[in-house]
Formats: sequence, structure tokens, C-alpha cells
Amino acid sequence: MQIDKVTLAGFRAHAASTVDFSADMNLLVGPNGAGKTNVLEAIHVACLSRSFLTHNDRHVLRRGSDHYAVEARFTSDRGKQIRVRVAFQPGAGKRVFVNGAPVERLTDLVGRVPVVVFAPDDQRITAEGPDERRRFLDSMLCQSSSTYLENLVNYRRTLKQRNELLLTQRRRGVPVDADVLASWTAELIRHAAPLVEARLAFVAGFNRHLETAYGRIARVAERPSIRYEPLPGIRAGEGSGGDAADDTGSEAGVGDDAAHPHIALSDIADALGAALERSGRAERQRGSTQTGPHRDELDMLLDGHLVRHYGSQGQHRTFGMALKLAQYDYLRERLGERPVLLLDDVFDNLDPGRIEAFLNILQSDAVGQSITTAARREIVHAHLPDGPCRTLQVVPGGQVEEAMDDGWGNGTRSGEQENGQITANDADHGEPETDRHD
Amino acid sequence: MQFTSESVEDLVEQFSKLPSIGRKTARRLASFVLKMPKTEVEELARALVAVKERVRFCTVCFNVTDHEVCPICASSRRNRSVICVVEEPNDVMALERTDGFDGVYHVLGGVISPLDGIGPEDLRIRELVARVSEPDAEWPVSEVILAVNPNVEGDTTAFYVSKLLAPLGVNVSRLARGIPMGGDLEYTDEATLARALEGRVSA
Ligand SMILES: [Zn+2]
Repeated sequence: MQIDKVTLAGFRAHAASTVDFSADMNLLVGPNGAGKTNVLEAIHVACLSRSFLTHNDRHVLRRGSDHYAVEARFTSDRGKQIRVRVAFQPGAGKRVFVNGAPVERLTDLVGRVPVVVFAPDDQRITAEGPDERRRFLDSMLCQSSSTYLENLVNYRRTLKQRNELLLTQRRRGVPVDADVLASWTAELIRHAAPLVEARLAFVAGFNRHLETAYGRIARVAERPSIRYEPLPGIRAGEGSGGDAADDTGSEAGVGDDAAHPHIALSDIADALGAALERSGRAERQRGSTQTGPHRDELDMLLDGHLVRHYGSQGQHRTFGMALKLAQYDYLRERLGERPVLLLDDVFDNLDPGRIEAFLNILQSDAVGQSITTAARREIVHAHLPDGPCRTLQVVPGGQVEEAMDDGWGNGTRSGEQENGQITANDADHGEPETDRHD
Repeated sequence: MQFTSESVEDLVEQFSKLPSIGRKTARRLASFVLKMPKTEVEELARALVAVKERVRFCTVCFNVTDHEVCPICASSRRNRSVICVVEEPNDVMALERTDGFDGVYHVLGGVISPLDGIGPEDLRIRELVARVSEPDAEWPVSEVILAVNPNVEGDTTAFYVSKLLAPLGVNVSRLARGIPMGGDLEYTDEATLARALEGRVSA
């Protein structure tokens, strides 16, 4: 998938801007607050109907604008054109159009244009609480399977209803109709079991991608892996400290990447039912559902040790980037389509070794188009192997324009404009593709 | 923008209480009413009041009707041993349009939804159970079709109802195929609905 063009109106810092992209590396440069990240946000809105920074569209709305509109033109790897328009107006809500036709539900957009975002806070996935890891997992699975997305939406709705029932019960101090609670429990399990099944299958297949990605960024002997054990006796990924080979033999473990024994959906449903029953007293006391996919943990390990507990700053950083790179590979393999790749300020605080390793990946055949933001072009240009790279200058007020040869600091446009535009400089380093060295 | 008349503002307020009517549409409706001839406005007002005064619920199936028993329940041509359970009166109309069902209905008046404060006691579920277990010599109920909407609330209600009906020895089935998950019975086209009726699965 490739993004050809994006138009932003009333969006964050942009009154009205249009950006054209090249098929290779695109670099958006400009000082903080100039609106370069907004361009990535807008692309993300066109891919998944919302920004990667906020769920609240009012935050995205430019001050003084009564609506925002994002229009993006994509070309799939097979050459198919996809035009997405997303318009939001407070009070009237959000509307999405694909190739001119309105989309009934916002979730219907998800999966048409796969997208992967690298951001400086990717290290939070390993460093912070389990909901960061669940969000990462869900964002990937929702993009690769519409069934997963549908089950997740239904699961969340059922969970909300069931929690409300438990809360009412606690408030009144009288047990609710046992048949009503049992009905909500049955509905909850009906949507939870396929989620767990999909997560198990995902973890079993993802470790291969993760290992490759980590090695390409860090070039060290550490071995990353993910482990998922949602229910007693039901798990995927390798056991801590052990060798993958030792684990494959163990009873219910999904264990190794390749031919893992499949756990039947009905077994997962039974285990979920048993877990919910065990937590019966706790959920009555707290007035909310205590177990299920919304509480799942995804263990991220380096050489069998939890990164969350033992990881260094650098390891969190590398792991976060590797997860995103592996996500890119995973989605590409699953969908047969290269995702749109957005990199938000990831190079600004990265050591030269990893910048170089990463730029090599971006310029390799594994990755098609990418769109990167950086405060200063030198951060990237200094390490850039000669190759096609289009540099776009974003100036305060939301303009994007041809990058000046001397970079943003010495440009003639210094900052006061009210309304902007985006232009580009084909900073093609002029060399034919065959001369590229990796 | 505000109307400089309190009674117009009041009308706008009333309109905006209606489902899917925002402030903007409410103002448009109000200014339309302002331009209507007085006789038409009176007709509208009468129809609104009459619907509350005259319309009542069928004592058998709880569909809306002007009589004590609705025409469907009163008809001798309907098969009263098959009951189709729906959420709202509108669903009855949708199913009647398919022409594929000759049984009778039971309108629950909603679905179980803790978030909306609705439990089984707020719905006509007890009445359904009574209807099914009624030892009626002429028309013993043999089948109950749960035609609730395919969303989490509809599913849960169907599950709950079928649990209550299980000991009564009737055949309980469910509209399943055809209607997209999250879809609304009322807005499903007739052909799809007719297929769903035919392809019902046991609940
Ligand atoms: Zn009736």
C-alpha cells in the first residue's frame, strides 16, 4: 500500500494543506509544533478513522474550525486506487467515505488500508502496564481480521453490560436473577473465546517475526519472545528460560511457532467459564468482571526474562521498535499487502548505530514507502545511504513546502504564517537504484 | 440562533426529544409548523393525542392495536401454535411484509439491557412463558421463534428466554443466518428476512 496524497482541512495546525508523497522514503522536517506529526495523524485517520494520539476528535479539530476533513489517496500493491475521506463535525459526528461511497460503520474502514506507526513512546509497550500490550495486540489483530474486530467490539459491549449488572447487584446488596447473570456470562464467553483463540494463534506465529526484527535493529545475541497464557493449561509462546524445543512436548502448551497443537474453541470456552466461576466471589465484591481477554497479559521476554522487570532503557527502546517492525512484517504476510509505514520522531533521540540500522531497513526491499518526521533533516540525512528520499518542510502554522537546501533553520520562511501549505523538494540523491548500497 | 418566541422555543425543545432529531432539524420542523395551515396543525396534534388515547396493547401478543385483541391474534387463518417473539411492534410489521409467516407474534417491548436499567421484569417475558404453558386445547404452542436483533442485547435476551422455555417442551429456534451481526431487524430487507425465517436454527 502506498499513500499518494493527503489533504487536511481544519485539522490540528493545518487550515488547509495538501501533501504529495513519493513511493520511497519521505521525510517531513520542521520545528516542534509546526504540524508535521499532524500529517501522520491525518494519514492514520484515513486508515483507521482515528488518530494514533487521541480518540477524541475534538482535540484534532483546529481551533476556530467548525469541522475537519481528511482526504487521502492510496494505491494498493496490486495497483488498485483507494480514496478515503473522513469528515468530522462536533454534534454531527464523523462520516467516512471510501471511493465516494459512505461507510456504514466506522469499523468497516479498518483493514482496508493497513498501517503501522512508530512513535517515541513505543517503549511503553514493554515498560508499562498490560493494557499497553493488549492495545498493541488488538491494533494488530483488528487490522488483520474483521472477525476479530467484530468480536472485540461485541465483547466490550457485553462486558459493559455485565459489569453494570454486577455493579447494580453490589449497590442494592441483593443478588440479581441468576438466570440473567448466566445469560450475560454465556454471551461474554461467546465473544471472548474467539478472541483468546486468535491471540493464541497470533503469538504462536509472531515470535518468528519478532526475532528477525530485533536482530536487524540491535545486532546482538539477545533473543526476544512473547508468551501468552490466558488460562491455566492454555498458552502460546515459549516458557520462560526454557528452550522452545523443551516446551513443545508439554501438555497443553501451544509452544512452538510451527505446527502447534490447536486448542479447540470449545475447550477455551470451557476454561473461560471455569475461570469466571472461580472469580465469582471477587466479581460480586468488586462489582465488575475480574477475568477474561480484557485482563490478559502478554509477557515480553529477552532471553526468557521479563523485559518489564529487567529491561534497560535501550532494551525497551529496541524491543518497542522491533515489535513495530515485526508488526509490519506480520501484517504484510497476513494481508499480502505492505502496510502504510509512519515514523513519528523516532530518530531524534536514537543512537547513531540504531539510526543507521533502521534507515537500512527502511531502504531495503522489505519496506516499500515510509513517511518519517524529524525536527532536523540532518538527523536523518547524515546517515542516509544515497537513495531516493523526498524531503518536505513543515513550517509553523501548518504549511508544508519544498525543503530548502539548507534545512529548516536557515529557510526564508520563519514561522509567523497563519495559513500554510505543504510543498516538497525531491531530494533525490540522484543515484539510480542499482547503485544503492545497503 | 434562537427564536424570539418562547412558544417556538418550546416546540423546538419538544421536537428535539424525538429520536435522531438534533437541534438543527428540530428548528427546521418548528419553522415548518409555523408555516402550516392551522387546520393541518390541528390534525397533527389530534393524531398525536389519539395515538396515546386510543392505541393500546393487544392483551395476547402486546402488539399495538386499537382493539382489545389485535387483528393477527383474532384471525382464524393464523397458526396459533407457532409464536414469533420480537422486540418491538415495528418488527412485526417488518416480518408481516415478508408474507412468509402465518403464525402469531409476541412483542417483548425491548431487550434486557442493564445499561438502560432494563431487566426481564420490564419486558413481557412472564407473559410469554404463561402463553406457552397455557393448556389451550385448540392451539397448544409447539414452536417459539426468537426473532430478536442479532446484537449482544438481543443474543442475551434470546438466551435468557430459551432457558425459561426449555422445561416447557416446546421447540425454540432463533433467526440467525442472513441478518448481519449488529444489524437491525426493522431495517433488514424483506428477502433477507424471509431467508432468515426459513433458515432459523434451534436456540
Ligand atoms: Zn395480538
